Amino acid sequence: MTTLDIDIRLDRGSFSLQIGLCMETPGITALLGPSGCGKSTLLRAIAGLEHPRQGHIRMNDKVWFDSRCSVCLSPQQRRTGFMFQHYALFPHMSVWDNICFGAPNGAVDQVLELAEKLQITDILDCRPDRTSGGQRQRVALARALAMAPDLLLLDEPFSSVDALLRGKLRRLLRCTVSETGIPALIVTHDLDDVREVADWVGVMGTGCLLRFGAVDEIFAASRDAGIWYPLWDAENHGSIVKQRTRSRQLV
Amino acid sequence: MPHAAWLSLEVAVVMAILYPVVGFGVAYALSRPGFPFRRLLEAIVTLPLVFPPVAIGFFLLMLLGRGNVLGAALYRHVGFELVFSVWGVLLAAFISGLPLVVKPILSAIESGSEELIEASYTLGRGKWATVFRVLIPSIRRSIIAGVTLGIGRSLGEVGITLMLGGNIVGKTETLSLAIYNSVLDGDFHRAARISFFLGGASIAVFTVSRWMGEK
Repeated sequence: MTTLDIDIRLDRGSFSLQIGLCMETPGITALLGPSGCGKSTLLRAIAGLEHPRQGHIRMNDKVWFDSRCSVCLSPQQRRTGFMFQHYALFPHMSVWDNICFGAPNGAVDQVLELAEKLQITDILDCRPDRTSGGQRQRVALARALAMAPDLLLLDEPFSSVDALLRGKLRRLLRCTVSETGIPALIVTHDLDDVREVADWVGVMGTGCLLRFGAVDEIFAASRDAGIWYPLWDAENHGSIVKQRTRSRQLV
Repeated sequence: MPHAAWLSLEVAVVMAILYPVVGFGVAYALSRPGFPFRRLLEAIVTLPLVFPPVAIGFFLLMLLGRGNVLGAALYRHVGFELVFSVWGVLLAAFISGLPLVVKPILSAIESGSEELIEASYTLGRGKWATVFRVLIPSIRRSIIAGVTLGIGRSLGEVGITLMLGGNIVGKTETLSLAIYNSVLDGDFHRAARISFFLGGASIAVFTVSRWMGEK
């Protein structure tokens, strides 16, 4: 069981993100929300790439960030496998070198196994620019998993691939993450990503969390998926759903 | 002419060593949002692109000449005389070409390299490993292009070199100054010969650098 406890306030120019979230959850958690609501910023804050103004981030019994104790671990110390939206594969390295970059020394067998699982063994000698969008996505996932992270963070992992490939990649991601047993947090604005990949979902409005729960539970609460859009529209116009802005939610 | 050719070669070799190190260092510093005096450094580096070279040379001559504060102090304490020496020629070449080295490298770092740096950090690598294993190799084409442009600019430099080097034949006369002197003397054949030689050398440097970039 993994516990991720987040309660942060982060300011970025005029944008302010204020989130309280406590997850005791294995499997995949999705953060769903419209563009610009702060999903990626939250993911970056968890990885240590953004520094919140105040609050805390705790992973199991380890403090990653605490403004009161002036604790702020570097991204290197947090050991999160971060998959960037545009993959950020190192262009001068082969696919193999990319995957091995963060892997522990002597983890050749594990890397090979991962490559086989993600069906990229035939492109291991290629440079990333010689591979397709779907292959790059799998290479980025393999690289994030090869370091055996404590938490996997995926920023819009399917946004750069076409719709046909998306379904296949979702199943592959779901299967791989389940097999490795690493908890994952995935950011998306696509309801199908949530439905097909995630076990838990947090719905975000601008700079805040609106709802959190099991995917089935949240979906069952509405007759159709269109409920999400009024949710954050309402938040933006200040009319309804305000109750969860600073609430800490325990699953 | 042979001395001018050797001096220009010396300038090219020294710049080929200095530009990658200093150019990358300055560009990297400028790309860090929290770097102190960032604006000032950027202004200093960009200045030779917008300021007339002869005027820059004149101000440096005023600053570094033996009769002036900085130049006098250098001479008194270290016995080092910069103006009207090879050192002056090298400084002139360095100043004139540096912006052309820094700009492409800075542009390469700012367009996409930030995500590579962050990826390297999340994969557990420290700052130095990230710079040497990720950043420099991923922008090496821009570094080579910038250094080539800088060397080309420094070989063709006249204004600052004229002021700082003094245009002393057989001592601080570069190939570009040799062309200038030949035209002043009315020896257009010599000016044409040197121009073809300098142009050929520049094209050779450009070809080699392209080949290195593609490799």
